Amino acid sequence: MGQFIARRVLLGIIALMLAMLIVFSLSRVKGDPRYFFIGEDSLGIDPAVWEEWGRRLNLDKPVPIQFALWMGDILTGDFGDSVTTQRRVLDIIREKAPNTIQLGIVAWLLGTFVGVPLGVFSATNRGNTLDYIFRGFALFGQSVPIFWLALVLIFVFAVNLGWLPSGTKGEGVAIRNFVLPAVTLAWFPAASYLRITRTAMLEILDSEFIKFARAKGVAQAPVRWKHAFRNAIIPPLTLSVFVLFGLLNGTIIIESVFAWPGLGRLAIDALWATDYPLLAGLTIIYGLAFVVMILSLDIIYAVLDPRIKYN
Amino acid sequence: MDHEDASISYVLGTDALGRDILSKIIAGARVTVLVVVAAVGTGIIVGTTIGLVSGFFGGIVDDVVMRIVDAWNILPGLLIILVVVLVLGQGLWTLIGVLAMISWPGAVRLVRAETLSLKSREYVSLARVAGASNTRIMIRHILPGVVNIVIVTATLGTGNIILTEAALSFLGAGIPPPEPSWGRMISEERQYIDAAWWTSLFPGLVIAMVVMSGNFLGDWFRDRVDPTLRQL
Repeated sequence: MGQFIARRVLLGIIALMLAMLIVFSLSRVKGDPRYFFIGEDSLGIDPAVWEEWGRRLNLDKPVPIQFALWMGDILTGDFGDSVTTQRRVLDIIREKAPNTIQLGIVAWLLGTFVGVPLGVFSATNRGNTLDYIFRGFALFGQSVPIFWLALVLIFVFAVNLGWLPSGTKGEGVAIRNFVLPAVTLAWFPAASYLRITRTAMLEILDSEFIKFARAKGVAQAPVRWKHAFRNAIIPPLTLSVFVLFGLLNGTIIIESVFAWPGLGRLAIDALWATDYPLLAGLTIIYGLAFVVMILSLDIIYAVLDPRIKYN
Repeated sequence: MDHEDASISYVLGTDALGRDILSKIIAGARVTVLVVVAAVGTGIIVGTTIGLVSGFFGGIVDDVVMRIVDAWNILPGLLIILVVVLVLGQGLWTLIGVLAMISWPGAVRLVRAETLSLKSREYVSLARVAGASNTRIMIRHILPGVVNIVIVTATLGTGNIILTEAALSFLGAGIPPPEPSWGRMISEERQYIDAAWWTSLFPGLVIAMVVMSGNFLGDWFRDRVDPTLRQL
């Protein structure tokens, strides 16, 4: 198991290096990289400043050395300054990150606690009307674009009914403000969890040991929850990695729609302001978050299912 | 001009500039299909080639390739796409490129696994005895055996690519105007949502229907190719 975790850590390091390599190479493929840091419209730029940036980006050295030095900066937490606000990238990210993390956790819990139980219900009531409704929801939920879903929810619940605010987080943690963004984000995960839990449950319910338990006279509820569900939990857990990725990608898409002051909106703003250092920093931080999430899920996975062989 | 409600002449109504929504949806389909087919096609060709070579030769090449594929899968894809768009600018080729970039790893693992099992078959050894070169064995004897699984993955992956394309257009990182695109139709019209809700409703429904069709088609292909994978 120690070896297994070591291998996963190594994979995480490779992934981060790859992300940094891509982000770095992109800054060097088009003209002078200094334009990304000074801002292209600054034509009357002071030659001294220009030279100064050349030194800061180590442009006098070979490209591989430039990459190594840049990576060294990143590892020490120096992501540079945002072009638009002239503030340190890491400070901006640190300030906005809690909003995205809170939203992500709420949406993840919502998706899990709606999707998994509905999947179990759907499997144990296979073929009845509710099963069809839930499956329909799952198919539809995996197909709608979430930014569109966000607009539909805003239209119905904020514009027409006026029950909930259409955006902004407000001060502190006001549940009202979380409802629409969290439901939007949780939609896809709930649908995916529902489908995969249903399939896994049906497979397990069809197996010999369940029939044996039934033949022994075990009641319906313990068969479902104790015998079947505990064995059906692995596929949804595996799916969690993709769900969490999807959630983080989702925050990038819908935070702007809900005017949510998090990292996703920051990324879109950075794209529009051609703020390369900020977007690059965000990419690397998201990459780090992905790696950490994968690692923790791997460990949970290994603890929950001792049958997994590590090779 | 202003929004016009649905009527006989404009079946789904018009947008803020008085343009017919239905026509825009149809014109947008052209771009979406072009982009998605090109991206999935490129991704599949690259992925299949890498998977085939990696599985066939094994050894250190295989190790390196598989580590890269694993690592690639845990990259923050959408943000990297945004960095690419920031640096290279929006455009048809950028869009196809970034979408191909996220679609290629899907095929590698499956093709590699299939290649590993096929290359130890009797008929491959016999082909070698008959003097066939590595390239010939890969193309004539192994590729036909992996084609099915490639088609299934490609179809199942299409939905995801369409959704990503729509999201990028929505965020303004897709194909620039005036070329119509479903995602951008929704984002352009969202400010009028209380006055003219239909202008952003219909493009979204179309996206959902296309994605759903892709998923159904993929499921159907999969069941045809290998009935044991059928989901209950």
